Amino acid sequence: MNKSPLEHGNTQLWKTLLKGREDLSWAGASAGDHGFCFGTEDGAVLWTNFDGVQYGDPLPNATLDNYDEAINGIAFNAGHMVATSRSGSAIWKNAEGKASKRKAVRIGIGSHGVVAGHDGAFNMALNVGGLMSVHESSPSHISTFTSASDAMDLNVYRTVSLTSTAGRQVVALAARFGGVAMGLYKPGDMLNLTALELPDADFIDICSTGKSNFPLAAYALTRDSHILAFQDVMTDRKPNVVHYEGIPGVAYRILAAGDFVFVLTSKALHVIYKLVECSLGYFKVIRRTPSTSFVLEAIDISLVGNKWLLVLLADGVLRLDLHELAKDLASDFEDKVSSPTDVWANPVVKVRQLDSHKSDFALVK
Amino acid sequence: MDESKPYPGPTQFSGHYYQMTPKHHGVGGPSASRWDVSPDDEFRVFDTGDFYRIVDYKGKVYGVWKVGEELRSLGTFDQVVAIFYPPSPPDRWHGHPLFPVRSAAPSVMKRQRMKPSKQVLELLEVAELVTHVQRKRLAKGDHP
Repeated sequence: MNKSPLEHGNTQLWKTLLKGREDLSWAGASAGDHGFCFGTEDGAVLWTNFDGVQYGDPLPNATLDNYDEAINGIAFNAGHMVATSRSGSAIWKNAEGKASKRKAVRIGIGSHGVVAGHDGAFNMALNVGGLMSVHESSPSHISTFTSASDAMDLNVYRTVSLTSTAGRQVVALAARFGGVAMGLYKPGDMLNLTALELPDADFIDICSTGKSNFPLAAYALTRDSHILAFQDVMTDRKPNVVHYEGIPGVAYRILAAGDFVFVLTSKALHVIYKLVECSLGYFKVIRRTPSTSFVLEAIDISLVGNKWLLVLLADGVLRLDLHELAKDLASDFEDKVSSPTDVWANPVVKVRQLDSHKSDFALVK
Repeated sequence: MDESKPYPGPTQFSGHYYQMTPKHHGVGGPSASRWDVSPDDEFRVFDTGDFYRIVDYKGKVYGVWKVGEELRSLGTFDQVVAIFYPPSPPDRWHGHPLFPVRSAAPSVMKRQRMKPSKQVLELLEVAELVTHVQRKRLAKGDHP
């Protein structure tokens, strides 16, 4: 396992941003492609360029909930930004602009993060409250709908939006002890979900594989670091289950970009290179693949395009350059090859259809 | 030990007496939060929270069970933080696992949406009952 990147200082591979900032709670992409965005523990949002130099006016109380709760999600879509905390959320227009130009609508409901969906929608994981979608239905209204969890019986912990080659919109979600659920999605319509459960598996994250020829492929992660590799979340009912013994700690996040799969645990960041091989109609888990680990204690990770991985630490942010990482892994290739302890190609899964109901309401701007 | 009886000793710091209520040991039915640790360990979580003064503005005490660097599950729905309520005399303190609640929890429990405040999480960190990173993750609603 590699040493902590903090011991090496800034390198081609790693750069420390906002060093000494202990108040950050979220890090990720800003709107467009011109920098990073950060959330703080007292509910503010701020922006920097790619080198971590702050610009613009910070946005205080970005969830408009008056509780100063930590920002746990920020997403941008169609000119809007949604910021969430566990006690509130709000949708903004011109969030990055001057304070006098900003407009906001308080959504009010706490959430476990938000992702940009399709058609300008935002999807929010409401834990035991279900899944909420927010979109601008007219210039004067923000519409939301909730698939309530009492009927779904899921603790919606993370969600991801995927788009098929035929343009079908799919939402997939990781549910604590409830499996992985997926369904066709259209803002305002009923969301009918199918859940796949593995006995005793505690799912804590799900992400796109980032493979353009398999747009509905996804990785799901359990709290004990088992990775499920779905070729197509809508049809694959026997995803490969992969487990690496050398991944210690409690698993927190999984993200994928290009040929990289990143698994953050309570003790380290693990990078798996070319976990799956994809070609026309061919999607296969590779049993011997290069991997590397960095010892660090991080709060969260976030991808910015296919270029950066941001690692949120207790006192700043590490920026990992994915191009440099690919070069690093390509050198001494054989020394870095490892194999998963187990690959189950035919796991026992329980499939169930979830009853969901929706409630719509509109927020007047 | 019969779980419906009062716990024999008081807490070290405040001298609070504790009652393990049947409601939170299975008698309360599926809608009640239920302990999944021994009576001694349940009291230990309360005693530790009282010792370090993990108290909110209403006087409620909060506790966790730290094993090494990890937080142990306290309840049947994987809660890692417990809450303890001050009694009306002559009753005793009682408590139950609180946060977070996993999916299979009954809807009554889900609707309660109870969570420790930001200030309570900060007290847990100051007392070193959770690490800095665990506190920051809990404050976001992440699992520790």
